[in-house]
Amino acid sequence: MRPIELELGVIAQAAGSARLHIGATDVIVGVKVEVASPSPFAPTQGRLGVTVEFSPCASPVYQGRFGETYGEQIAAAIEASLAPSTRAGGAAAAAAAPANGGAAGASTSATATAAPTPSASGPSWGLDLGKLCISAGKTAWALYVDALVLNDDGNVVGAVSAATLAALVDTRIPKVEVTTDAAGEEEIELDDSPGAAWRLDVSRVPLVVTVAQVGSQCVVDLAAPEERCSSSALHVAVNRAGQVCGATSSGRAGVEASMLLAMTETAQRLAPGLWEQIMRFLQSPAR
Amino acid sequence: MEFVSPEGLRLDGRRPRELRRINCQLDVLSNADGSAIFEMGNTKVLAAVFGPHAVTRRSELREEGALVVCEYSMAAFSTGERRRRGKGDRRSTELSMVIRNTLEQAVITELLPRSQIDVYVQVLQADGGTRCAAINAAVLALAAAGVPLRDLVAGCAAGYLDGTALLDLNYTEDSGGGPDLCVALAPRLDSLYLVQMDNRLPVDTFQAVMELAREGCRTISGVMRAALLEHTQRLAVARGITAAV
Repeated sequence: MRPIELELGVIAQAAGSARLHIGATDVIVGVKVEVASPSPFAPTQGRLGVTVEFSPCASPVYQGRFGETYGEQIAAAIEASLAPSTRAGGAAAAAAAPANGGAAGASTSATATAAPTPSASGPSWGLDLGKLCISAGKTAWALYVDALVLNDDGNVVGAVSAATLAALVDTRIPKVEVTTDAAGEEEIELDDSPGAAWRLDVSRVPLVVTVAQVGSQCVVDLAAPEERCSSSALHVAVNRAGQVCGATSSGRAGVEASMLLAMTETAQRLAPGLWEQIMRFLQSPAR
Repeated sequence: MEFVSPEGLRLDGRRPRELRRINCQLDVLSNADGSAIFEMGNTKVLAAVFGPHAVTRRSELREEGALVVCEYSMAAFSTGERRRRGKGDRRSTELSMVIRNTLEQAVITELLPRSQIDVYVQVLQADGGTRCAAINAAVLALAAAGVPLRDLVAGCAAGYLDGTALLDLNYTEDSGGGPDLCVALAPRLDSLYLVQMDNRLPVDTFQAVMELAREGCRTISGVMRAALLEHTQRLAVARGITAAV
């Protein structure tokens, strides 16, 4: 991996934000929270929205609407790694057999998720969206993760994923109290003081590691010129324990079946160390 | 709402004729030919310049001078309330045109016939005055890219609230309902490249507000010039052209 440079709190208007450089790749992630109504399909959970946008500052090719679909593809991979049920189909993720990971779409850009160890309380990986619920069925926090790519020098998915983790660590959510008045109407009181804010539990948020196939080799963290040489790539979401939480494949030629296991294993080896490294940096007293 | 306290202080503690803190960073992106971040208080704008290069669309080729292409976009997290606005909405298109128009006058286009200069402006944080900050960031990026400029054009906004002319409105003051004047000035040529005003304003007050905005432009241009000089000096030292000062 190339050295990573991380900066927190770069956007004053966001609840949490991070800017990450890896090589010349440069991404900013801003997390915003707002009170919204929960989705009718998951009344006791908060909402989560991930967008990835390519700034034309990265390259003139991103002028206009170009790059929007690529951004959406990355956003889908990140969103699936943050919350198991939002896009991959809630019931399917919970009912999935406790596979030992490695389930991946063989076709280009298909998303597959495999639950490592379904536990009784909360999801086994990602964010606990149940904690974002304020009043069941009525109000919940909506968590918006917006990534802006300012420079593309390869490994954008990994950069966005790591920056998202850092921004989520940085995120403060104001405390709310729900009171019921005489008429039975629920009222929400917001406590805006910084001391009353709480932080998200990110301990189960996985990192997405992109393993690319160049010739017959597995390569991670490709720079932009290298990316052009790779035939396919697998974006594997791995949590700190080394469990595979999801995988998305992309590329021109499709992932070779014989390579798949080696690719996921590479990601499994790499991710926990990276996770710990980022966390150690974020919790270091120097910050 | 009271915008100017009896002591003569504004909501954010500034005097009526005071600018916000300015911060300029140059060559922040490695891919662009020139780039800059212009910060003014909580407003933060990034601009990148690509070119001059060959015209991408043949039909737009101009024999007599360079073509300036501009795109303005706002990051989803830039505003107080999150809005998915992306590119291509009406406000962005209008602002792109305003910035393009201003820059076309600032660049000595006749020196670069049959070429194209791309300017991309990305708002990272919006707290009033993004129009002017966008122009300032773009001008700095053009200068960093080595594009010939007539002058170091600077933009500045001024308004009129509570019977006082105010310089450099922030978002709360901007949405206060008073007139808002946005000016881009080439300070050495003393010519106005952009004048935009919304709302009504008596002529004599307009002159006072206009004079205030021009003064703001001159100050900002001075700060930008200092930042550019410092950056160029650092580059010269790095490349071994001059010794460290």
